[in-house]
Amino acid sequence: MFVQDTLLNRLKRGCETMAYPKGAAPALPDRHGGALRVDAARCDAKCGACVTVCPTEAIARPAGKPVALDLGRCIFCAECVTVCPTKAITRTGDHRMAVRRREDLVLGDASKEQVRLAQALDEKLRRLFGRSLRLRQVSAAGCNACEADTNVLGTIGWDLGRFGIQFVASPRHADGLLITGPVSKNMELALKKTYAAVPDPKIVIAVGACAIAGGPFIGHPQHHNGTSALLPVDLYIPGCPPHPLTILDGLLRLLGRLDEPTGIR
Amino acid sequence: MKRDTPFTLLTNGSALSWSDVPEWPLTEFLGNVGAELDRGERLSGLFGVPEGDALRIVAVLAFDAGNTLAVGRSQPFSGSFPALTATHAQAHLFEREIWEQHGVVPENHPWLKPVRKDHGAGPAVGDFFRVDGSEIHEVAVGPVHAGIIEPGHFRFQCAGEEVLHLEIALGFQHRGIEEAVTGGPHRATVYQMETVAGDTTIAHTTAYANALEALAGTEAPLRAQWLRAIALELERLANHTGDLGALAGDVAFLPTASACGKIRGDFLNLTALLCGNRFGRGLVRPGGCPLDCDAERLSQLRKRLETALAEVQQAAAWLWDAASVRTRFEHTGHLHAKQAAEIGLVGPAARACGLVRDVRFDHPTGWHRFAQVPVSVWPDGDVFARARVRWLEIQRSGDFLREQLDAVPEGETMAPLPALAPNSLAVALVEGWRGEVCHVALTGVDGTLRRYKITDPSFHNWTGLALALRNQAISDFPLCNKSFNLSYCGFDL
Amino acid sequence: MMESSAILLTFTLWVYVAGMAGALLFQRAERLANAVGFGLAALGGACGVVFSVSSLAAGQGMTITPVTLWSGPIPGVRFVVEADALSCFFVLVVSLVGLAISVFSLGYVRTYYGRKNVGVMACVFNALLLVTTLVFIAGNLWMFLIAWELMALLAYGMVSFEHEDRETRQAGVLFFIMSHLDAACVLLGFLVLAQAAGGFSFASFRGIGASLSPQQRDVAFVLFVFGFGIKAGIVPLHIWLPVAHPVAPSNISALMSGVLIKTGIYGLVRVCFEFLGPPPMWWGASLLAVGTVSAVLGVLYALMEHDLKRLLAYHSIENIGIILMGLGASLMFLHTGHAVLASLALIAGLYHTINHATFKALLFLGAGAVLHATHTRNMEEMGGLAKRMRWTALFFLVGAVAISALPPLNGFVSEWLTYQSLLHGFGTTTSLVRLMFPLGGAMLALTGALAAACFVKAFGITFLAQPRSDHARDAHEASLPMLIGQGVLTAACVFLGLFPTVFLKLLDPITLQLTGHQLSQQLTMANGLVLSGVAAQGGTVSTLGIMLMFGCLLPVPLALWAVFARKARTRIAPTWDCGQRALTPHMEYTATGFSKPLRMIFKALFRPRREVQREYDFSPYFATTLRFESHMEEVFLTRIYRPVNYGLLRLSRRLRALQAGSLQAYLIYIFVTLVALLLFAL
Repeated sequence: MFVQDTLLNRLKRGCETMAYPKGAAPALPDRHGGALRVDAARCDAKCGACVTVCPTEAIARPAGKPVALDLGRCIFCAECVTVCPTKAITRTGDHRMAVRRREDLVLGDASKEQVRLAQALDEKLRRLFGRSLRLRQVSAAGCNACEADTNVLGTIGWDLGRFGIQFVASPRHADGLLITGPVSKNMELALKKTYAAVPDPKIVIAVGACAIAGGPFIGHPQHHNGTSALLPVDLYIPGCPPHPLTILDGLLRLLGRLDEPTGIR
Repeated sequence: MKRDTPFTLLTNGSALSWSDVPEWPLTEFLGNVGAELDRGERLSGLFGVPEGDALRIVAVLAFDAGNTLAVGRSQPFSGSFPALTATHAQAHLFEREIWEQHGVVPENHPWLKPVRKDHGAGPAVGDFFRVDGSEIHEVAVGPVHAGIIEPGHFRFQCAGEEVLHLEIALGFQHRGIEEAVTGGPHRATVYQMETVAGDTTIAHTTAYANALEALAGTEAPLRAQWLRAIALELERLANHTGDLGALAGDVAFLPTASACGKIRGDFLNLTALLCGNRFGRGLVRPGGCPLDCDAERLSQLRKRLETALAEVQQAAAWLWDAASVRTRFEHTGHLHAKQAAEIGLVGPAARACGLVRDVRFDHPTGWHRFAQVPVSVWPDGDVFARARVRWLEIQRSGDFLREQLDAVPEGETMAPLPALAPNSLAVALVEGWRGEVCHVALTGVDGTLRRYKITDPSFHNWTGLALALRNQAISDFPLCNKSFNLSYCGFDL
Repeated sequence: MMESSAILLTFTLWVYVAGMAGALLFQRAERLANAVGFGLAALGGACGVVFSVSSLAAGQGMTITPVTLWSGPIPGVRFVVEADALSCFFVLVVSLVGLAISVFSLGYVRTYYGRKNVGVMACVFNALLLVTTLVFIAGNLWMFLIAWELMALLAYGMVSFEHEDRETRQAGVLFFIMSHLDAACVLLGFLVLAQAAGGFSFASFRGIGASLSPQQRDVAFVLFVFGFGIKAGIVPLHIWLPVAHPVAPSNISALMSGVLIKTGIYGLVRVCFEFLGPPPMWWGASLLAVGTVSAVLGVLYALMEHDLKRLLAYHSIENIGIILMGLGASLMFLHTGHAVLASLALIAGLYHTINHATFKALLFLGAGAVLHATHTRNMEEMGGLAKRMRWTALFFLVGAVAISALPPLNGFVSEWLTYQSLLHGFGTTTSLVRLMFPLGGAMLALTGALAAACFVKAFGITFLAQPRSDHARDAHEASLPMLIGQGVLTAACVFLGLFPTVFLKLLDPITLQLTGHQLSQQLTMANGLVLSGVAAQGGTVSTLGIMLMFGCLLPVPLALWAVFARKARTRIAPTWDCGQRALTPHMEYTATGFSKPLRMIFKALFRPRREVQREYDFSPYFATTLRFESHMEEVFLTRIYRPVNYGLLRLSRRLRALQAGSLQAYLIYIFVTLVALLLFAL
């Protein structure tokens, strides 16, 4: 009879929620690769292999300037890693990638070999949202992978609720929006209305390469190439899709709930 | 089974020269298609190929009983064409799509409305069907839905709590994939194929790879085909587990809902074990699979698979045991086999109505030519049947995976892809977890893709949901919607 | 009667007469006729209220003396007036409601200017108030029956006021027929009494039941229940009520529902408690049963209505049922000898009478204001009126809360008293009849819940959300007299709810006269703040206390608002609509849709039929039109009235054979009759 069975099962299994952030983060799949790192010093001035191979034109090598890899456009296909002869672009295996400012995602300059991770919200918003953040998720033409990996944060392994973060049904109940997808023209009105329906103060989180810069569909006329065209964004989480750990890390960083300092490991 | 048909036959995952595709004048062409549909065959694709200012319509039919596909095309025409939908309901969305993409009008189409286009302020504009009567009210839901889910608009006509008619308006996620592929394959094309429907990456990318390999006149190495089949079943396992959990959640049966939520993540991590990405991005490419898996990795996969399968077995057992769950599932969202056949339903939704149709069985390609997965069928056509079919498929996929992981073929996994043959047509069908994924590729004179048609299984099945809701209580809508679990973005492209 | 109150009563009656005359006199000058006619009616109502309250308050000092109004040339025909406590109570009812309606009418009849004769309406209105008052104060059979008949005729006239409409004419005819049926039954009943009393005065009827044989008493009882029951609108004699009340002008509907059906209650109380003597158990039990059935069926049918006035009419049936439950319980207690409980039940019934009069009239006036503004009675075409008719919405809301018996308003008080009497009933007797008490209590609870559901629907669909039609969109607030009229009744509801202990004192003389007990002392505790049930286990409730509690709690949110709202910015934004283009009124719940689940639950009673028509050109999957209709079977009409009608017609067809048309046959009839009479005389 399922009643006894489920109770016994629960008792046997105990608590299945991961210890992170109080413990170590769960390991990323070994082939995942995590964030990319650009060591511009190793670049050969005449080489442009990574530029031609990148499907979303995320890498630029303007004349006289070092290589610039825009992690916001990156879909983490790792073609550039494979093709680079000097190993200037490498995979770090680090899950932490969330940033507050769009320019922080552009790697390549001397001090920007790796991502400058997100600072927490300012004092006022942290007091409001730090212990209770209600988000309204809007899928503005997302392919359902970012949505699925956001959804999984609500399951018992990740348990987003223990941080006071919850996804709500109505924007009226929300403190901010979590947007996935490149923001198609067909969703423009709905997104604007949803944003308008959220009471102030509000935050906007863009999850996934599509929401930041259009993802694999970058340049198509059917959409706006990401959220920034329409709304001010407070947090960018790159990935295609970002691993749930990356999303969680980004959210916690935004709320100032992580103990470790931001920056390079 | 050999029989007479004017169409040219071809197998799944093969190509033929464009000039070998038989052509007829428009009315004769439509008549031939209609005749085949009358014989009980299925329409896998009906789309337009522009020829200068005129248009040709190409039809891809699936002769399930004969285990073969059939293609044919019309001569170029312009202006309008007599609608096939008037006599065969399964063509309705295809013809609306032709109208929208190419501007030719299907005459006497009983439901000529846009499919994906925006009208200045998003789709779901224009007159929705209204039921007459003083006690009727409308319920309009979407595009932004209450949970973390893709956008779509549902317009119910209700008499009190009973739904008399449901109209579904999609197109909110139109990203213009088919248009972008034209002239390709471009750098970004394979990545766009992976994200046509982000949770069906393996199926769509495999279909794309098969189509391109057929055009190049080659096949992926056997080990790659084997790996693709493994990944396809893992994708099926993950999504069916998630669906069972979501269905349990909708009837407030939390033990299974919370257990399956976690187990789905475990299955996704199995795919990530193979390629690093939980959805299988980067696993399949035209020419094979770029990442090989050594014996160590495969044995780890096998071990973790067993654990996950045992857990989902237990979670589902609780679900079937609970009388409250069965009360909600049974006789809800009912579809008859006849309706399912007439509207051309595919996938678990069709198999749950008793129709035996599965691409792995009817049109085997790749590894499925060597190893069979039994078709999971349940006759009732209600939510319970659809849940039950998913459960059977979980078990059968599990068995298939165990069997295959015990007999690993040797060899390479990746071979360079030769150039694509010019002026050729290739068709590739894959049984994704929602149903039949159909990719049709047509190359031009220079070997680039002149026209690429993607048909996600949701394209066939959204009509099924609209029918299943008739005369149901509106409070059962989330349950019915979950039991179909269709892709909004796969439809919208 | 004391001198001053007699003068007051006479003055009241003459004011009505003056109103009649004045209205007719000035009928060509509409505004003057309106002002004079309804103004004088209001004055008369006010005087009537003063008269009745002062008489009841005087209480024990009241002596009952019949006064002969007029005795003309015909021997034996005299009109006697006698205003005892019961009469004064009902005069209070008619006057209070009449006052409010008159004020309302000052504004309401403006819609008839130029179309219909307002003077005639005002005249008939005054006449109605006059004859209804006469019914209540009638002291002998002549006065009573003449006034009764006049009331029926005048009411018929008013129901058919807008006789251009076929539906109205048919309603009027049905009302006319049923009124005469009830007059006939009442007359027969009184004749049984008169035959034993030897005269026609009510004074001689008191206690006459003792001199009748049990069979005669039973026959009289049944006749009275039929007669007064038709008037009151009990099930199954109610079919005229939901037909006639909606088609009358709204101020008349308010008068009919609020007052005219109470004449039936008055008649039953007068007859059962005073004239017919000690009741056997089955009288009370049958009244309790009939009351319960009326209450439940009334509210169930009300739930299914989407015509606002018909909905209110069915609620009248429900509330009459509740009143009868109190009266029936009272009779049962009289039989078992529990006079105190009998008083309690009687008080509950009478309190509910005045409560129903006030809140039903209030609701009808509200419906009248809505009808005036939107020109439709169909709730499916209304909506969004709360923003356009704020005061009317507020008054209607108070009426809705009152009729749903929610504290702290008056409906709650009278139903609480009814529950008290029913709860105590179980212990009063050992026979199986005692099961009726808890059963009645349970059914009363069911009606309370269904009534609340019904008014959520009525208020919600009519006033809330967006307007569903252009009429509703263009609605405007009612005029000042209409608002004042509603306000008077709202104030009455609030007063009757918050100060029951004060009002109960007025009911003392009635119970003293009818059952021999005065209960207001026993029912009051804590210096009048708390209402208490009669026995130890009865419990107590204080509506005033509840109100004070609300009042004490209210500053808390207000304070929070004052502190925090200053710093917050307010932004007004449209309702969340899932990101669509726009919400349309078609997306709002319909009245029929709201009640559909209940219709399904009570399928056996309603026997709903649905009809779906689907038209398609090519394929059934793509319909071109889809039409949906549902109907309910009118159970009483088809299963009781029609068979009775057909039976009667068949019988008459048989009897037609007697009218052969031949002279010889008729001569033989005369001969046979003559012979029979002669034999009989011998």
